[in-house]
Amino acid sequence: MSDVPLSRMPRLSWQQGLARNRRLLVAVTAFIGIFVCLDVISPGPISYFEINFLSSNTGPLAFAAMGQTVVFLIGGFDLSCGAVLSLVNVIMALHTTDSLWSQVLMCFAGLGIGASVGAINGFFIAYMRLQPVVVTLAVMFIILGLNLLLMPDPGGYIPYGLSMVFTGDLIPDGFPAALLVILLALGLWALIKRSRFGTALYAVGSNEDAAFANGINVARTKFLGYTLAGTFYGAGGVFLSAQTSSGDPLVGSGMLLLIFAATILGGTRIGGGEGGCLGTVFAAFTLMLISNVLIVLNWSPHVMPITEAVILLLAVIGASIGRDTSLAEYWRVTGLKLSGLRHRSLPSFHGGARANTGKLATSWTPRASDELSGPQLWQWTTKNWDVLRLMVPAWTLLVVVYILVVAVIGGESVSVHYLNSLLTLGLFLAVLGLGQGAVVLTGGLDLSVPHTLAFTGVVLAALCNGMDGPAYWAVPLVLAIGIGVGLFNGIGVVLFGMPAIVVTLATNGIMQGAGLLFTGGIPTGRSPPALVWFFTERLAGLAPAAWFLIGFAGVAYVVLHRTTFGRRVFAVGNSARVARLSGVRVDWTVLGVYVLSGFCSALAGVLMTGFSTVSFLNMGQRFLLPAIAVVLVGGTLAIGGRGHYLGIFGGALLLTAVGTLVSGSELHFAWRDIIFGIVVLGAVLTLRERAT
Amino acid sequence: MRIRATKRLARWAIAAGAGIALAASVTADKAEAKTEDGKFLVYYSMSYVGNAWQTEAKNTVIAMAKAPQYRDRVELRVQASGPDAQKQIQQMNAMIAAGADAIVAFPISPTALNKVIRNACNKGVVVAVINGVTEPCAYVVKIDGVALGDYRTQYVIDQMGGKGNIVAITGVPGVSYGEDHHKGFKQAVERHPDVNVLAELVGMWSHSEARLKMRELLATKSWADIDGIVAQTGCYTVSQMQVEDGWWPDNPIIPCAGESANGNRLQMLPVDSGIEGALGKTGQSIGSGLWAVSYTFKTAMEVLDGNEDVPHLRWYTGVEVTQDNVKLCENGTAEEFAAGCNTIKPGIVPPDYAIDFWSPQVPELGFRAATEGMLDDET
Repeated sequence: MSDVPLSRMPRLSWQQGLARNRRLLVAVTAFIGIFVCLDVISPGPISYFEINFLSSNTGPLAFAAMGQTVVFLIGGFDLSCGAVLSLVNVIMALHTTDSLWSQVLMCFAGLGIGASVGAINGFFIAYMRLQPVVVTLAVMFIILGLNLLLMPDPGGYIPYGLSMVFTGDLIPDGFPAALLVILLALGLWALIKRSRFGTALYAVGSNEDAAFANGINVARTKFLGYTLAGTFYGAGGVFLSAQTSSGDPLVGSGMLLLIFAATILGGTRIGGGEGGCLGTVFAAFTLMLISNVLIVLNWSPHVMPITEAVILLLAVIGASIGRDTSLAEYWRVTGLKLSGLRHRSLPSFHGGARANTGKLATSWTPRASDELSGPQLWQWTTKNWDVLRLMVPAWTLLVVVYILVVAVIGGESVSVHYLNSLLTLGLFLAVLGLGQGAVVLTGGLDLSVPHTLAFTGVVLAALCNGMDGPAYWAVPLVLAIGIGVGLFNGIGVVLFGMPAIVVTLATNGIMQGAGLLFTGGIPTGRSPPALVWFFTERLAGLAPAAWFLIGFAGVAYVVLHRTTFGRRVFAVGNSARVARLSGVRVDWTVLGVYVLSGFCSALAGVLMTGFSTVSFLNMGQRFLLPAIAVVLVGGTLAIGGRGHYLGIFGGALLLTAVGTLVSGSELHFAWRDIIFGIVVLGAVLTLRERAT
Repeated sequence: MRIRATKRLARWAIAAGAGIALAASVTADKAEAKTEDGKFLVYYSMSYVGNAWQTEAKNTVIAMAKAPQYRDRVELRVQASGPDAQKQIQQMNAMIAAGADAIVAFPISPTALNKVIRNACNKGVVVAVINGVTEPCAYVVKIDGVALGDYRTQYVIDQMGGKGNIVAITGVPGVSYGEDHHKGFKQAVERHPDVNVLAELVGMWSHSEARLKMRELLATKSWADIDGIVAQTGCYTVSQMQVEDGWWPDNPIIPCAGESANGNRLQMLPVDSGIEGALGKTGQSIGSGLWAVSYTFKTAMEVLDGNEDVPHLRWYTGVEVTQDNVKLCENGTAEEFAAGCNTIKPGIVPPDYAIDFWSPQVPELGFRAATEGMLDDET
């Protein structure tokens, strides 16, 4: 063994070292920049007290974001982190007593709770081969419900001693304890990073197949990675409890976006393999200090969402600047094209090969199957089983939930009226499901839905103000706005090569700010009566909106499964590279998908305005996660390439039916979240690809 | 060659940095004026931006700071932190560092802010909070959620004749005021064995959410099954839905006790008044205290002015409006409200617009305060 020469890493020149750590450098520079800037503009020098306060206040965010960093490194994505923070906080606030033992024990219990949730995530992702987004979304729903069952409203108590361990002074007026805790965690991370396990984490994130080929146990690495991440969330929860000295079941949920922002700003690449916790911690500090800067700038609160979005975008652009970006590539190609134009050397000048359009001139007839026998229906199902099985869980669960509704509530549930309610309420999720579904099919995610929906709604209501006349141009106008938003997202993803999550998150913030600025914070106006009629009239027992949904489902089916665009979406989702080599314009397809999603958000905004008769700035918020859930329950693979609109449609009706079940029965409302989570997880479990 | 280029770059960077710092410090100098020109620097830390109520609350505080007794003595600055407690903590601490004399806060969490508030108190900064934190050094202006929930529910049960099916539309789960209100609801229902809770819908203090949840309920139940509704927010919407569904005018609107939305009050006006949206319904509208936000600002000012008798906890109740005392305003000036009107004409404000910005405790504020952040006599 000892004879084998170990290949040593060559020493890097400082330029190479710089290039390697560019992402970290951006994070550190951002922090130093904002810190120096603050020091200069603040009246006095930054005091020790401020540093101590900043450290203890950043602690929870830093720890949670470190966990998210680990997840990002192995190519994952964790929506459950905010909920875990709350869970640890709630349990600690409820059960910690003044005795020293109890305090120590509860700290470890907090870590243990985080680790257990992480292990649950890891088990489903690593060993059951489910997609991270699905699993963590489901786990998030379940934990949110659990938190509310455990602690219905804020309260509880954390002993003073525990608080001081995390937020007091290590050296009075010299060194804050919080900073020490963070440094210890970073030290621990440095050790992990240099261990075999750490190498495995980066290897799995960079290229799973290569890691596997090199003898790394991919499944175990992922499982342990999620468990480690969960432990970090647990530590974040303990820190949070110490810092706030009390429990609040909602405190973690609000942190979710901030956690993502810190991880991304810290230079960890979405998709894995690059980054680390050091940058994340710097980014967490930077994000906290932004509040201080905004105080000095004294801008209108309505600009705040836009400011945060722009900072996020700038950070990501800053971290990825260089020659190997997609923008540079497009610039190069455009240059080539221009010079081709000048030298008349482009294919078009040579009357180049033309693709056959229209029907292919073949004369084959379908051969009667000699392998399948039995009734036609059976043959048909066997042939189409690959597609059908995607829809089975959603539709089966829909039937089950419906039977429960009839059995538990009864009432009007066996009637056209119930069908009408199901369709009109499911309409919004079905519409959003098409846009989100198409995006997910290409392997992306559109988080800009909530405020695109709300913005189009408030603009429409303001322009129409209760009259049908303006609707003829206002509805197309707001739909065009939706398309514009989609274009913006698409350009960010395609041209700038930014992660979809970042771009759409930023767009969401910009649209929120746009809504606030457009309305001055108070939306006015009312929906045109025609849109209200859409939901209140009955045509043959069903509202026009219900008929519209049936038509919409048909159109959506055709768009996704019977057009060239739809085929390209699936091709891109299966493998962008193969699609490109097969002559699919990947960039245009991805752009098209985001445009479709923007259009669907706007359409849902128009419909929601009609449904509500007025519109509100926050009316889109409640649809984002359910719409993603609908897409996943409907059989869509979260990394793209597999799915069916009729499955998504079934998922939309299923979640709506669950809503009617919870609203109509005497179940505690927290169960709605828990049932949502179980339904999502259950549906996706049955859809699991067999291990190959 | 390269070294020289780097050096030049560094020089530029330093120059640019200094320029930014200089520009920023000029802005900062203006902020510093608070002690030199003898004005109090008061910050309003709002957490969440994004619904009409929060915007109205912000506007009323801005208008209140312009009242004659404060105009020349106060510089008010408004900041929002978003839905994250940690950021609000950081923001409030930055306000302390910026030299705030007082902070008026709408807390995202009743418990998480305690530490920063204690810190503010230690530094002599007055902290006044709307609807409650548990830190005793803060000046808290608070509505009694349990009492309000009980009172509203009792009203509805009385209208129901003490029996029948009642529906509760609650607030945001996990937020104290909403949970307290629901405790009050349950407490009142328990006193009446003939009253059956048909459903508890999570309304999220949003009319669109109340409508969605109500539609979910109506998928399996009908209006005939419901005898009374208690809504933290949503009376306007559920009454409107009864009109859309054709339940009204054949049947009376189901009694509902809830929010101070203008639409809710307009619906109480008699149908023959000819006012758009009037349904002649029986109902009760008590605000959850929009006016209390500007009253909290007043409380902070009282403390700053050296009044040592200001209690650390001030309970408040809303003004009750029913079909018996609902009265339309002409222009919505503060004087008119003082004379007893309590509803704004339709079309001027959206139906979900909270109308309880005026109260005897804040007699300065008229309709323009909530919409534009201006006093009545301002141009």
